[in-house]
Amino acid sequence: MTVTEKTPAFGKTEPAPPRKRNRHGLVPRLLRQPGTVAGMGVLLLVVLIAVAAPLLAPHDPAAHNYDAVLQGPGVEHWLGTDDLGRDTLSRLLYGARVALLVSVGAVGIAMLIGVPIGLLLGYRGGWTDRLGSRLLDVSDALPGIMVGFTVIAILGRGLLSLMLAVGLIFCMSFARLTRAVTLAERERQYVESAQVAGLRTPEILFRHVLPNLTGPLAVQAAGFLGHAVVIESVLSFLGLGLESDTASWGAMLSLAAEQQAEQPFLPFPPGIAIVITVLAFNVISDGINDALMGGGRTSVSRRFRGTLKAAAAASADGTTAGQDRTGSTVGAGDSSDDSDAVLAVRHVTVALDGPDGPVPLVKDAGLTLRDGEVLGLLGESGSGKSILSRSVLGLLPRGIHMTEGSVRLGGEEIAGLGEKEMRRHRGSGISVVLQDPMTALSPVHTVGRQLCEPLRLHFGLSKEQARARAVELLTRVGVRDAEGRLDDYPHQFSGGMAQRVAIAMALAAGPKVLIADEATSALDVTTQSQVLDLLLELRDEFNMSIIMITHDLGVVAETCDRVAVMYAGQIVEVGEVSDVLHRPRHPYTAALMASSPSGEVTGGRLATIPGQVPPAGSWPVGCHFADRCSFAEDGCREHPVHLAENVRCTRADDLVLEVTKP
Amino acid sequence: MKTAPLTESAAPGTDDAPLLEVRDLSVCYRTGRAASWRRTDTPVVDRVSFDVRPGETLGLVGESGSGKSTIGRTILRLVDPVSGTITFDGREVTAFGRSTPLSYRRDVQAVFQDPASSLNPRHIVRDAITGPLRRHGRGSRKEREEAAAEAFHMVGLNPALLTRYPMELSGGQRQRVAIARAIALKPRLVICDEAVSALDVSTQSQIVNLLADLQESTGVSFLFITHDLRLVRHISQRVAVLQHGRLVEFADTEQLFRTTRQPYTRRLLAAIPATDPEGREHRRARRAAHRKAPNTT
Repeated sequence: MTVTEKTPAFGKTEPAPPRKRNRHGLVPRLLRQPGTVAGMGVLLLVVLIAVAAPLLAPHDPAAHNYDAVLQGPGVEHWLGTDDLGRDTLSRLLYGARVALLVSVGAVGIAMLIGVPIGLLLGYRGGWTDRLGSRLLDVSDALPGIMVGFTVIAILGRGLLSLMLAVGLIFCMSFARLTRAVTLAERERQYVESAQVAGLRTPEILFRHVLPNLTGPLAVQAAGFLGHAVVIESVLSFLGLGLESDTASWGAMLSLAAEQQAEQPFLPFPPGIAIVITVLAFNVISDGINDALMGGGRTSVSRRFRGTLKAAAAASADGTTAGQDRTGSTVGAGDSSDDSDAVLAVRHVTVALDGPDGPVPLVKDAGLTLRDGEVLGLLGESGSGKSILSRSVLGLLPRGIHMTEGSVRLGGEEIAGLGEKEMRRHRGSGISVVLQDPMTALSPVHTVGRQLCEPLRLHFGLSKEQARARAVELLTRVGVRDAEGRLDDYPHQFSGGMAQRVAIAMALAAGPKVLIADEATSALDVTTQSQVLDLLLELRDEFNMSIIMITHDLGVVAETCDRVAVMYAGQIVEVGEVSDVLHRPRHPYTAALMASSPSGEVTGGRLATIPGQVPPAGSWPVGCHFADRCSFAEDGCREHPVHLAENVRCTRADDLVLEVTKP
Repeated sequence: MKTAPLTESAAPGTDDAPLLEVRDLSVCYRTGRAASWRRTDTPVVDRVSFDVRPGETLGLVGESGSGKSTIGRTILRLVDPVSGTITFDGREVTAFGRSTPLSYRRDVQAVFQDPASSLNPRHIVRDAITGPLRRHGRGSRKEREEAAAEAFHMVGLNPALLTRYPMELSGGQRQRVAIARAIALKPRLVICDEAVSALDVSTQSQIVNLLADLQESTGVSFLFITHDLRLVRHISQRVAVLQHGRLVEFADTEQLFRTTRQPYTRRLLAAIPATDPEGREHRRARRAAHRKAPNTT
């Protein structure tokens, strides 16, 4: 029986998964923010008031009543009257119309002028952009109010000139923002794809780039709508707004200032109305911004910590925390004896807080890392290999928790430790090298400073001693002229060199366990082989054990002593590298090997695995691989499959898997 | 066996009339402050020559910074060359001037590395196919939508996915959409710039087979730009190796992998991790010895 199955791809369609309701769209996210909902509620109220002003207003806002001038709040006039006896409440309600009209009109005009200018400057670049940007700078230097004065002086007072005045003040900001975002979007490949397809520039700009600007533009527009209310009030206050008969909040304020001695209550109604409206716009603007950034303001939940400690204690005793488990008794993953284990991971389950309850990302995983060994953790994206390593480090992203399991580092339980206690273990006990070295290095400090700090912290070295040790470390990882390069910043290093620096940092405190999470995946082949060889040398020199997390079969074959293969959140097979790669026992391992190009044969088709990895949350009840497995039977899908004799397959004993290449 | 130097046409194998011919191509990037008078031009591609035959897959390999992507982008007219010529089907592409003829935009398509960024996140994926068809004046709206469904069928995607947004698809599905977009115009050359590098192994093999099938049924040529030599051996008939913007070797795939004498190519090949752990100590020792020896490049 072989795993070289027929390739299905061509002409045959895979089934479409059912369309999921989009929970993560902008609007649903906005509606989950209480502040934004409140802001929208207030705004809706203002809009309703503006629309229904004639119905709501108890008096004609322009009707003079000389019998009741400058009254305070009373039964007849709830919010009092002004110097001509006009009802303040009615004027306030009608004033909402002007405020909204002017702000919407002004922002609309500003966008109509500013957005196309910004699009053009950002997309064209070069001299057009340089000249245009300088002009924008110049126009920015003009005080906005002066621009407003000038426009009104030329066009005279009126609703339209007021909108235009405020709009012109804003349009340069829109141009600037649009230009900045367009500059970033222009680099995206969908723009280049459109160019390659031969689309015309206006079509690329308005049909392709513009829709991607809506987010940032909406944030700015919402903010400016509030700002416009203020500017309208300022202009009206200065007597440059609408004719005095028209009710507007600014005009009411201006009147209030004149009559302050007679009736001190006058400024309050328009003042409060302006504050509330502007606040609502700003809250909405902030809300859109947050929703776009995808950053909910959920706090890190600590409720798991207690249960986790209990679970850890339970599984350390060899019992499990209230979960049915048949077969494997020691570790769901790696059932080797852990007497000489540097790191023992047992029954670890990691879950993401979903809107419908926790979604498991890693299920019941176990690893045993022996002294001085290199253990490979092999899996595709979505297999949970990185999440598992993060949970070992206690560095899970927000919203993801280890819900069950135990992690013992040198015999000491570290699962569920607080951040402060965990920090004691990181560095000297367990350390990590990530795929992108720049995430480990701070861009604003020199490499020397970043290397010396942990040395001084962990070993109490003096400044000079730390520096000498840093030079030693850098030289050891293969950085030439280490002494001179200590004062360089991370960006001055090439990718391979930066990764070497990151390795030096990870080694600084002499860790017992080094986790290399796709540490060489972003490097060129020649650099990759150098860095891998370096890691193996360092393992011997520093007496470390290494967990090598990778998606690359070749990295496993070249460096690891043992390997654990992960698929869809589970460890499906563990064993000595030569055993697993020569005689895979799980169909997934065999299929993965068959579909990896070996580079040893020219031409020919690659074997494929039909379908795709099921995403977390839609894992089947039975074997996670069953739907893509060419050996699956009905029995595979019925019950959860447990790891038995280091393989998670019910048919492991009947299958003889041979990997035929290509 | 043919190895460097290769400034002259050193195309190995038979003498088909090439579809694409690149001669002495040089490209520079401007560095230094954008608005400064004193700008320096850094060469990223230096007098590179190669050709692509009809129905062929040519692998263009090199490490990061070797200029391989820049060559692809120059052929796509996203970057302007400093000197040299690119000829496509007898027409000199480098003499087109500012505007690119629509026929060239139809004949030469691209599949980029990151399908998430090469599809407009705000458009349903069908638009990625119908938009270019409309620009090229193909059929009515209904016919274009049918053509999109047909292209989806060819790349093995369910037509029900036509109205989805890119975010709703998996990485492999997005890359299939990108390929559907590229082939919908029935091009003669597709530039695949690291087109499968971001995909998982099991998805990658599906896409690679798909490309081979499409080539078989349509006779399209591929310029397959990648850093992955293992893949190149599988899919390309000839390979061009770049180092620091220069072409160091241009040979038949089998020849190159078996018998190359070019030191840089040998170094690249030696660095490919084997998928069999057997003999790794030996390989490691050999690499260590090689590194201690004076640098060959």
